[in-house]
Amino acid sequence: MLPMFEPVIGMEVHIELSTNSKLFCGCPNLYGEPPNTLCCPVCMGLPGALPVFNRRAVDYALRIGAALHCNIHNVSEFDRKHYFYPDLPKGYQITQQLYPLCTGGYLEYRKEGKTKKVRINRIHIEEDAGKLLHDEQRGTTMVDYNRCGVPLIEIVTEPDMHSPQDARLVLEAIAQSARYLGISHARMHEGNIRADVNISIRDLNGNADGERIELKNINSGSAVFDAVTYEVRRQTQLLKTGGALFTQTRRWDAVKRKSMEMRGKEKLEEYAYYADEDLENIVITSNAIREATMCECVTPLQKMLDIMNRYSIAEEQAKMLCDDESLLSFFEEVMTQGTISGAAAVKWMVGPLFELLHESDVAPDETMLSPQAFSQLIALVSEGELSYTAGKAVLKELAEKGGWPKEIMQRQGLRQMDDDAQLAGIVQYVLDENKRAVEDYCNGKDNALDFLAGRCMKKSGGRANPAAIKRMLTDMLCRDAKVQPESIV
Amino acid sequence: MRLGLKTGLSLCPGHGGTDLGTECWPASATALGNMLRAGQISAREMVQRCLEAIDVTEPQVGAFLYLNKEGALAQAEALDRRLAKGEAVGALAGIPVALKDNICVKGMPATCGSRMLQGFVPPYTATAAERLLQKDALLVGKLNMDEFGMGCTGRLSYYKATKNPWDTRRAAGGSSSGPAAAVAARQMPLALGSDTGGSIRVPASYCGVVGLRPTYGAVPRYGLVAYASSMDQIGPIGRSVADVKLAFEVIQGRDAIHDATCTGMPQQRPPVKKMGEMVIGLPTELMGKDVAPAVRAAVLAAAAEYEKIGAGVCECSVPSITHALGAYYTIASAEAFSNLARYDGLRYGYDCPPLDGDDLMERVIKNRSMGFGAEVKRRLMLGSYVFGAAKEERYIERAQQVRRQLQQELAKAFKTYDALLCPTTPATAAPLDEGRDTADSYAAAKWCAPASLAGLPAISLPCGADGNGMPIGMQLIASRFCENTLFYLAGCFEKHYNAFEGKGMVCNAADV
Repeated sequence: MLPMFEPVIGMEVHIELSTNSKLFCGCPNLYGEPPNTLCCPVCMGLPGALPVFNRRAVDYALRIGAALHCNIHNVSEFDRKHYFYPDLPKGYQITQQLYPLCTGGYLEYRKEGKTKKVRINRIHIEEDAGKLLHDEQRGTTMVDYNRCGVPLIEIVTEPDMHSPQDARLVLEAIAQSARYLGISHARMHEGNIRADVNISIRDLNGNADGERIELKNINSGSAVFDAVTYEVRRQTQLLKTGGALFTQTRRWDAVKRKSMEMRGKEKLEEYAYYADEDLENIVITSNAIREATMCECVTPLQKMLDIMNRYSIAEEQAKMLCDDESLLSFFEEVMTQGTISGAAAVKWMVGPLFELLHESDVAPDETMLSPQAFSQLIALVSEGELSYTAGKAVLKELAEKGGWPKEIMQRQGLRQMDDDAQLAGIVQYVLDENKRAVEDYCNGKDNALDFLAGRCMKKSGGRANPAAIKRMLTDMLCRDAKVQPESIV
Repeated sequence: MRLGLKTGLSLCPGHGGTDLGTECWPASATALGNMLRAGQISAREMVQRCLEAIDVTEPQVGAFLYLNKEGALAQAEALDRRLAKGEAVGALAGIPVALKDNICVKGMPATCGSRMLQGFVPPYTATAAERLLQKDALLVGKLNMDEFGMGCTGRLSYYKATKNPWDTRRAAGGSSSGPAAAVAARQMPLALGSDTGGSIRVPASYCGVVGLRPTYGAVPRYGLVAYASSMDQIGPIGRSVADVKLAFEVIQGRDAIHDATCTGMPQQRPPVKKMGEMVIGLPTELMGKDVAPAVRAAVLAAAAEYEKIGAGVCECSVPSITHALGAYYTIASAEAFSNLARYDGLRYGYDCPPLDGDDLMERVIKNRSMGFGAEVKRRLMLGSYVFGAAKEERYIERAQQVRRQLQQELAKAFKTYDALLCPTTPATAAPLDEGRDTADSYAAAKWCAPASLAGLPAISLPCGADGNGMPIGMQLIASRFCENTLFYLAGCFEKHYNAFEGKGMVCNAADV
């Protein structure tokens, strides 16, 4: 990025709510069903059908409005936004234009160990449109109306972001909040969260040099990052070579990794916003608003900071834990045992345990592993009774069959070999058997040491204390080969 | 009074008309119901006679777009079987009814009088229609209308023009042309129409029948193809106030699942005053020089009769009425633009044969250009204009201001008056081939626009005939949910002046 320009980025994030039914009819709100099986006259926009508001959406909107410190309005209105597109059966979308549910507010997020803020412009409720499926080969497009009428919450930020990384972090923070508050599954690959990003650039004196470009079809944090990076480069290039930028909408192609002009969208559309006379205004009592805002809902960010401090663990690890409710509660249960440090516990959780769980796609409480057993296992490894490798094997058995690590260790004879005499014997044996490697090492090939250490571990059946082995090896090699310790790297 | 001229139908018994078994046909819906329950006539017979009347009159009237012959007979037979078992039946048992073609019935076509919905068969039934069927009414078919509810002559259906049974060279009125004409031609005693800016009242006036526009929100709109969402209402058309009341009570009521704007009539209805305490207002704005002399005379005569039976009548003024028409067309066009945005011919309805190389937009433009008639297009363009090119003029905002002002003035008037009396239309039905200027025909909605804009109930009933024997309609408007006041006032007038049955007044210009 050329240092003379700074990006100015704003986002409009659409979140699909996880209500049981659609926003204006009783059709089920589900993903992945056969096309056009979750429709009725209302969401199909058939002549004579009328929308009836699903009030559950208000509860969800209140939660996110409160979490983002917004001004929640007692009265808000539904408007019709008119445009033609095949996925919009009524020829208009029911949304909130003039009088949205929330205005103002802010979102906090973490970047490089610091907490940053982005201001929220508004939050409103609206209905989703259908989905178009293109068949490139046949040159046809099919429409699936299952998604038509699914409730959406739109969060519009102010243009407070100034880097691709910030944009990505903000989108991920919004998704995390939505999941955390239980209002959306927020699975980006299922399209539960979609973002339109507005990008313009300004010189470092704060003068806006270009018009705002809107990028549509951005469906993940990495896509935001890539799209913004590309677009800033493109705009900067254009301006530097004397080109002009004008307000337009572009489509982000994640496969080709470039943004493209959208056909037929050159001029500003006239949406003819008009209050929807079929629907009453949304009325929320002041009591309800007070309750929602006073409920000390800890935000994901606050929780993460809390975990970090309480257990003295690093931010990255705290974030991983907080992202997964089941992992987090398991971790906290482990910590209540009081036998191990947070650092040790989290190392095992985000390392070997996470790997294990990910393999079988299960949560900790779906395995046979108990927090107490886990705690004991970690303690055994910390105290040197079990090697790390052996510990991983024990963990696997604990997860599959349950039980206690001490018992497994004894039964399988996995206790770490720590006895110097025993270890010395093994080291000597390996040195005798691998004279060539010893020579290599004496001639300066340092990775011969690792090779020898590996042979020792194998000879011990994986039970030797690796640190002790390395120590002994270097001692004995020095002694034998008369190599000065200082020259060993 | 001579009913029906040489070119019209002979509608009354004893005038050489078709003898349709006059003891029971066509009698009031209530009377027919009683006969059915007393075993004097079977449901099947009722439908037979109805179908015969349709057979005889349809070639001249042209009220029907779809005849549900087999279905109605089957329904009738099922009903007869239940009656034979002594089962209880609904309030409309055996009564043949028909619906305006913008009211959806599952399995029956709903064209809205337009090419745009040619071939469209709804997969669901409108709540109001459902309620009629639940009370065992027999659905005989779907009736002609001006396209999408836009028009007040009955000439603007894509399929055919409906003729006025009193003089088949004249318009039946619109947009509920089919319902009013069918009832006037005695094809069946009851029909449902819809009223946005007078679409029930105007044809009722022209065809000499009773038509009710209910309070906005009294009757569910679910299943009524939308024209202007803030003004559309389904309402009954019948040959007597009692019949219209019967149908209204069946269709009104909350529909919590399907219509958020429908509250139904309140549990406690506003009380109805005795005639001696009634005060009726005559808005001067609606009795001006633009009213035909015969019509003016008839309405004034009606006012005099109300005074005779004990009510107080006096002139009043509702100044905003002067701007009501402009406000009505602005708002209605804007809302029509919105409600008709969904018709693209891609999922249902008219889809013109595509040419190679047509992209989607071109195809939709063709469908809409060919699917919509001229009047619909005119109003859509007006709507598009006020939303787009004329945005700066803020026409819609100003129209809404007029609307609010009118609502306030009417609310104030109803503190003094129990009902307002005025003509339904400024003249009687015009000849069909008289190429009326658009602005003129728009102006005819002036008398109906106020009640539409304010969401008030209004009833039109015949109060005389002009020199050509064409029916004159008078309109009574009341405050929200005061239908009972309307039924009472209209019913009293009807008792004294049985205009339809031939005992009415003839008002010539010379009499004024």
